[in-house]
Amino acid sequence: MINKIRIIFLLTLLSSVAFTQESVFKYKKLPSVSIKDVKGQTFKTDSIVNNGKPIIISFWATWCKPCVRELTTISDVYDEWVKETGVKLYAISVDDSRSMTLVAPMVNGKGWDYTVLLDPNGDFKRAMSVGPIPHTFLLNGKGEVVWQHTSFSEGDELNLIEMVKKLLKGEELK
Amino acid sequence: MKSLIHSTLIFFMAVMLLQSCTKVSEPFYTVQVVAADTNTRTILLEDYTGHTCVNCAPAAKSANSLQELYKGRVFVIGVHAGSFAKPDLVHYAPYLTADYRCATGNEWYSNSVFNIDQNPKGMVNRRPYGGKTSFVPSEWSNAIQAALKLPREAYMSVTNTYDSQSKTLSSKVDTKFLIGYASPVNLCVCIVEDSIYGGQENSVAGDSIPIIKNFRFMHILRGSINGTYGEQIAASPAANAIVSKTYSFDFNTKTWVPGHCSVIAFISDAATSEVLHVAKSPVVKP
Amino acid sequence: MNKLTYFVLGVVGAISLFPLNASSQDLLKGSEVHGSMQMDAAYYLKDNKMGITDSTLGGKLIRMNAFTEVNYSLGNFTAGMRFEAYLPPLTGYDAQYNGAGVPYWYANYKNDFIDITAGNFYEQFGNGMILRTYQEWTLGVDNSIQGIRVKVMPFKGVTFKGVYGIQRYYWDPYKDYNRGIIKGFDGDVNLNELFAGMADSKVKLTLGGSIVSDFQQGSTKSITYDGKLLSLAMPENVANYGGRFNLNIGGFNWQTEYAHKINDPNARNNYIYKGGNGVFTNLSWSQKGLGIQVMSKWIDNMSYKSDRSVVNNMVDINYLPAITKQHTYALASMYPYATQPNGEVGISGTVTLHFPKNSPLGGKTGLAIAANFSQVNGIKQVRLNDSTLIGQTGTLGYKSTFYGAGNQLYYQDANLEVSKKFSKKWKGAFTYLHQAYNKDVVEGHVDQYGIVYSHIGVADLAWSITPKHNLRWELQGLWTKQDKGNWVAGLVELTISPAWFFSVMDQYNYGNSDHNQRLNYYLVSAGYTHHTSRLALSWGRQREGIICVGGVCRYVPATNGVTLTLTSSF
Repeated sequence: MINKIRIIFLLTLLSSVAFTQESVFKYKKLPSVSIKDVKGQTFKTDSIVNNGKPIIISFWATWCKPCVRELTTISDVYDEWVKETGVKLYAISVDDSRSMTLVAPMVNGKGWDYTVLLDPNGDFKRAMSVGPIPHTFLLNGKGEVVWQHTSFSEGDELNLIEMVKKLLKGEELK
Repeated sequence: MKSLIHSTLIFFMAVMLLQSCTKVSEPFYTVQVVAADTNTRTILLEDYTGHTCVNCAPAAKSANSLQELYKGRVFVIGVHAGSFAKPDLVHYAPYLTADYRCATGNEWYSNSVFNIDQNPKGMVNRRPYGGKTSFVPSEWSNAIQAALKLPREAYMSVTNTYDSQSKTLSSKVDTKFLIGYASPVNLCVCIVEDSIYGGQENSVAGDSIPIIKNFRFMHILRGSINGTYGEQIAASPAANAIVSKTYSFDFNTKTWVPGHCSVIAFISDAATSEVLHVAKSPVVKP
Repeated sequence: MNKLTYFVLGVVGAISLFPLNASSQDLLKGSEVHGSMQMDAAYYLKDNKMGITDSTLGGKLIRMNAFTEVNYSLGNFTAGMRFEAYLPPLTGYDAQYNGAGVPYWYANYKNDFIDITAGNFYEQFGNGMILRTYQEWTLGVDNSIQGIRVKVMPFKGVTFKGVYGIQRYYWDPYKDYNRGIIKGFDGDVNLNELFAGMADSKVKLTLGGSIVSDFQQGSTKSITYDGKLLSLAMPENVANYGGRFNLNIGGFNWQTEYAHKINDPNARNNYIYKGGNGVFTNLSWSQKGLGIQVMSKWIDNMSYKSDRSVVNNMVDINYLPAITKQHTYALASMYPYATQPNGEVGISGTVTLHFPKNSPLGGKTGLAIAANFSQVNGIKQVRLNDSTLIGQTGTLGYKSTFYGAGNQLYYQDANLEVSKKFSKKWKGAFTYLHQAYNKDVVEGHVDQYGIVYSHIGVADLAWSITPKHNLRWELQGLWTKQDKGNWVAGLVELTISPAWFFSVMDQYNYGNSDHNQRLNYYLVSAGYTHHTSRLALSWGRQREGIICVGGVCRYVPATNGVTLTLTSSF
């Protein structure tokens, strides 16, 4: 019993550090992992670049309803986002061989304009310490990860575009 | 660099091709002859089973076969416990309405060390085999052979006197330790009953599928006379130490048939639960 | 206990001191520390209506599954470890996980043409029919290999992988050959990257092949059959090999994989000597607004484990994916299908349509339609001769034909989902499903329950009260004449961007033929998210169910309790 309490305490302490220390989840550089694109061609994650403009990386799967909701909601306004800010969204699917081949039909079927990549072995997901999905990362023009978020609520996309605009102006994110 | 790559590749291919396939050609098996040997330790084979568990019919048959093949050396206890042993009043009524569970069996089933997480599963002298304390029927034969190689710890005898008038049993269990044992030893005395007929679900061809209506259940655990895990009889017995215990048991309130019952007594390590020796004797002399 | 304290304090120290200390940054320039953690804790309550009493709880009222993983990277080098604790494991998770320790650790070096990992790793060859090790925390699956993995990229477009090691089995250390030793080799050739002439071609072709061998000590095995004691001749090296290709031309994609396993008598297939075969193929076509996908699979005796005697879902070397659609709505996933590794044949198809805004069917805001059909049957098995039964121990077992389907229906699912945005504030998705679920085969009974046919309807509406306040409603119904009868379920969920969610859900088994079992499975939840940390609390009943992973279903008992989930990543 006392051991359980100790462990719960220590893990809460650990996550409270994560809650408060925002500098903690910044990445200076994306890890370099080999994944594939929807045509089966190799794609190395260090080629995730956007000419000095911000990048959004979103981990999703065809069976994850909040993920599909997030990407559908963003796709409704994506054209405007690109016109205004030049941001680029990379959607990394973690579908395994059961549903991996549903990715391209779903992406095209829903009319999404993102760059979709496939990570069935979870290599990129593990390298980015992604747990539950959706998990979204925001990178500034220098390729540094400056912000992360898990789960999706309607309205989160408004917050996301605000941060992209701030990055363009060179402001620090809170 | 290139030569490093090439040698790495060749290394892996060599590893693969040299050891990759063992193809077995017929005959795939030979029939083993079990040599009789009265000077080995005896084995307790526990078969955790249930009458609605479809794979438990062949497991029970396997346990009976092992008891026959290793006559006098392997003794089976059939423990009916868990969700597959619950009476089923709905399906195949009335063949599955009986309840063969008992308090002792339920406690053994819930023991987290035994880890009975599915049916059928069994234990051989409660001793881990292949890293697992309890294992599937296909492992029982090999586990028994491994356990028989261990030195014999004791002689045990069970002498039963049953009074049919008063319906009471007096059971004397004698244990003589051949070699000393450095830790405390428990003695557990149980009663099992044979030849109970009832429904048993079955999945294997050769018997009726999906249910054998008149299945002959053998050695069903009815309970332990002296506590779920028995009682301590020696703290650290020396070589040649003899311990004798007598128990009495009243059959009056039971629906069991004394002529079909037997007493199974086993000594075990009080700390690790490993069974050291087993003896069995019918309640009523045949 | 001390180990955990030092470990966690060390991690807390590293991540909290790290960004602040400028001089340490110079020293370890370019290094990063990241990781994640999750804790699921539950407090279980008694519930007489569900049959949960003090004795069934067994005194274990508090249960917890937790893990913390930390990864360190510096240049081409990365290392990490994961600490897990199950004290004891939550209901529905295997009791053998009880305990705590470090089941996963690794060190990795990679550059442009070589990538070496020592320690535990997760790897997949092709689609996984020959080798796949992965981890799924919520399902309790972790079959990582501990050993060495080497990836070499000698030319552009060519990747060779070699693996060697043993798999995880709960907390059991490897000792005295208690598990098999796995050796594997995989080659993957991307013709477009390899041949400069093909680089710009519209035809994109990748070829691959793999071979895996598992060595398990023991050239004979004793087993009883028909009152006799047989000594089976066991193959110590069981190999599983195959080839694959992936062809892509514009919006058309065709992928096929074939695997063959040599004789592998094991406890799952009743110790027969027949080899195993698997074919997995899929075709898809997509263009803007339309996606079509067809998938088919044939599996014959493909259970491949590094411990012959294991019958649950541990130590699988390969992965046989189900081709049926994974549903997330509660009633639509009441009867989930799980692959039967001993034999099944199936086909599934999906069509996704999107009618954009201002098109005839799309209306002002667009319309999306998704239709899916899948069916799985058993395989055709023929007796070897008159004196041998199908699946008889110590024989070849049975004869099967390539892609031969048997008559027994295992699963069928036809579903249609229509989603539409009605206005700026309202959007909805309506789904209808018809399922046929062979409860006997999937759950391991014989001629007891038969096939459960069900009609399911789901209405999922979302109301955007304000741009940041969203209220979602779900109404579901399941109608069946078999098993537990009809169900109705409802859910209301309020999300307040970006941090809060509240939800109330109920599943009511109103059609159960046993009036005492017409229960309400209610669940109240709330949660708070801050960046990558999430805290969720829920209270209520969870109905009994089946968790099916890798072809084996585990029964999850019904529970009533309070659950706390804390996840974070850094």
